[in-house]
Amino acid sequence: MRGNPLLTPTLSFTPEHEAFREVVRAWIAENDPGVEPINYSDRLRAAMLWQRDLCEAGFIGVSWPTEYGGQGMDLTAEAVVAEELARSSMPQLINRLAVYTWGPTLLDLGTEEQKQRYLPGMLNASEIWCQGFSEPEAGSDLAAIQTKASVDGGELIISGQKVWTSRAEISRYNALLVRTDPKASPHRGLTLLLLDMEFPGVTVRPLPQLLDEPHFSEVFFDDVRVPLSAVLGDLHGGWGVSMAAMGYERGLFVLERMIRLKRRLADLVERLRSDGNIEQGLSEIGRLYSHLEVLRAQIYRTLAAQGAGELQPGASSIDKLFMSEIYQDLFTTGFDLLGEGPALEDDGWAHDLLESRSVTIYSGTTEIQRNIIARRLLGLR
Amino acid sequence: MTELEELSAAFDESLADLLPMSKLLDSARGGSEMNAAIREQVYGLGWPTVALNQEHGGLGLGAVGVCALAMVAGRRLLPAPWRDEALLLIPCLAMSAEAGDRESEGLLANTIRRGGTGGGVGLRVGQDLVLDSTTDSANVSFPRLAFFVPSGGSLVTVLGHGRAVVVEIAGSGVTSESSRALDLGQGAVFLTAESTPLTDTRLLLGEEVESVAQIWRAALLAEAVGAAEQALALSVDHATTREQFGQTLASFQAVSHMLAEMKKRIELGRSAVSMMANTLETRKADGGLMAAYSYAIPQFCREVVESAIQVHGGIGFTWEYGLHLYYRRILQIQARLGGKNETLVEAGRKAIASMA
Repeated sequence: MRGNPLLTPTLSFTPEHEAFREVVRAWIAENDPGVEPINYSDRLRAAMLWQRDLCEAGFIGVSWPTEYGGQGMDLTAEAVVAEELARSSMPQLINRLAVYTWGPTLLDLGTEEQKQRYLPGMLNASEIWCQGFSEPEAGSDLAAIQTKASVDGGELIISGQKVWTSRAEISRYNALLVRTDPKASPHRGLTLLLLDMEFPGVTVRPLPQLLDEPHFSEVFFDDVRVPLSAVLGDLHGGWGVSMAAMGYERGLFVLERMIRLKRRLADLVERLRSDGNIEQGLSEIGRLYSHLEVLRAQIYRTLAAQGAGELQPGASSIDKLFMSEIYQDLFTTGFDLLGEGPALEDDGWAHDLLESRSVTIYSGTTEIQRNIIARRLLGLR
Repeated sequence: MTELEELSAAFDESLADLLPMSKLLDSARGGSEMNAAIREQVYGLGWPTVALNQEHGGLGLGAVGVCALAMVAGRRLLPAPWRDEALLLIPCLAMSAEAGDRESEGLLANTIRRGGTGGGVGLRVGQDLVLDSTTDSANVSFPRLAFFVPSGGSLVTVLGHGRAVVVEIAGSGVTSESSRALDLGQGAVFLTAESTPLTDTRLLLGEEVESVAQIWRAALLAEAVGAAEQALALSVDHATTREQFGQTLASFQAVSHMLAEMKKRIELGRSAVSMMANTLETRKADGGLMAAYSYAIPQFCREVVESAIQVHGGIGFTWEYGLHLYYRRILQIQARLGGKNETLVEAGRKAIASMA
């Protein structure tokens, strides 16, 4: 263990950050759109309007450079917005995949033309993004994808199928991972495309998930022609691009989750208190609260490392793994403490309990995260 | 490397030499503290002055520095009485000396040089010191408490809520009984005080005491993470060299996932200790955060060592391999901070209060 760091840097909020926090908090308090609609499509529409308003107020992508619609602030300011947003009625950005993951990846790896074209629509949610990774035969084993794209002059022709693509139905763009060199080794023959979902040959078929909401879809590609300018990074360099994006998928995304879970824990406390059952739940509340506080420290460390450009590959798997565990712990524990209520009344708890089963699956299952920690952080083979 | 990194690396290297597993095991088996010669060498490295301010000739390290070195102390299983002496007794003696206690001044100088003066303990939730004050002196009472006291030690520090007392072990009204504690060879002794007279310079009050108390608690957490980290290092080493069924243990996913889970817990602990230490550099920690970490960190570290013993199989269960020493230390720290159930309930109460 010699050479391992002892203590690690964490986020520090300056007086300027705290002043900015007050501005964001006051704006949200005044403009909060109110409780999320229950109906799925109403909910989507409300979420798009909310992100548009937040963008107009200057609160989306605050760490992005000003020439691409950002505010040129640091990642800590971005954390301030995520924390304040999490207190609002609609804590999740509808275009979070674009704002937290693909936007920053584009900023790092995109051409000037790509940045000009795609970044503004990410921020104001006028163009929603999805991510085309998983396939029927390639879930955890991402490098086994079969959807192929062959070069034909100045174009690529895509054919194949993706599955479990979240928000594909409402997405204008797809960060699509395809196989461009079938002869190369699995990781080397991949390319990341920025695909316009309105191109001919793209078919989206909603696939109701276990809540019977059309949150994800199957997406089919029948000889879809895209220009070579849609390639992000290098042709056949898609694995590296995808891993760079995964590095961004953690920090702010997990921060927002953590605060949302804190709010749900407060809801649970409130319900137990009004039922007069709070004493029974003390240990469970103590455990959930402690774990959320530890997660906060972990996320601040990740964000500090990201801000300094020093995030160790694989390190943020810890954030994802622990967040998913707490997520499921919270909703199952609540179910156990709340009596028959959540089983008999549509009070939102059962919805979130069912939804929580996805957290240890999407974006790299818990088992994959453990593999990554074993390989990247412990050097095991 | 920063100055603190250099200091920690040097401390780590010296402790590794001075406290080899064989010596730690001898001390544990003999049930007595590491011999005084080793103690003097460790004290010669500057260990006792880490938490002492510079006016008294200390290193004047803040919470970050103290926690970093405490993590090293955990990796190397620095004896518990030396920890309590450096992080509780010495800062308290300095406060007492500042209040005009001449004897404390002498004790402080002596302790910094050789160690062996005394230890300390923090009170649990619901416990406190009972003080019976008159105009020029006070009497103190406390229930039966366990301390880790170096051999020949004469003083203990008791941390109450917002106050602390330095008490003489041989003082009137103090009864003591030594004990064979789980963490062997750490000089465990039970003391009870019944109306023990106390000079006013040995009764410490105010913010400064609270700050010493919080840094001590944070250091215990850091120490637990350090001990767990060493147990993981041994486990990774073992799993990548030991072969069964013609392949290394680490190549079995069941084992590599156990190791990943251990790593997760250690890094979470490191993040939490880092945040706590950074907070304590500038202000008091919020009671909720302290309660949350006092539950979560020792529990994570304990689970790490439990897995470490499992990964090692029969070897992990032997006396001579020494994994049990990390287990003993972490359990001791967990109990010292209130134990799993008490800290959980306390964290629950703080959580509820923060959400009211």
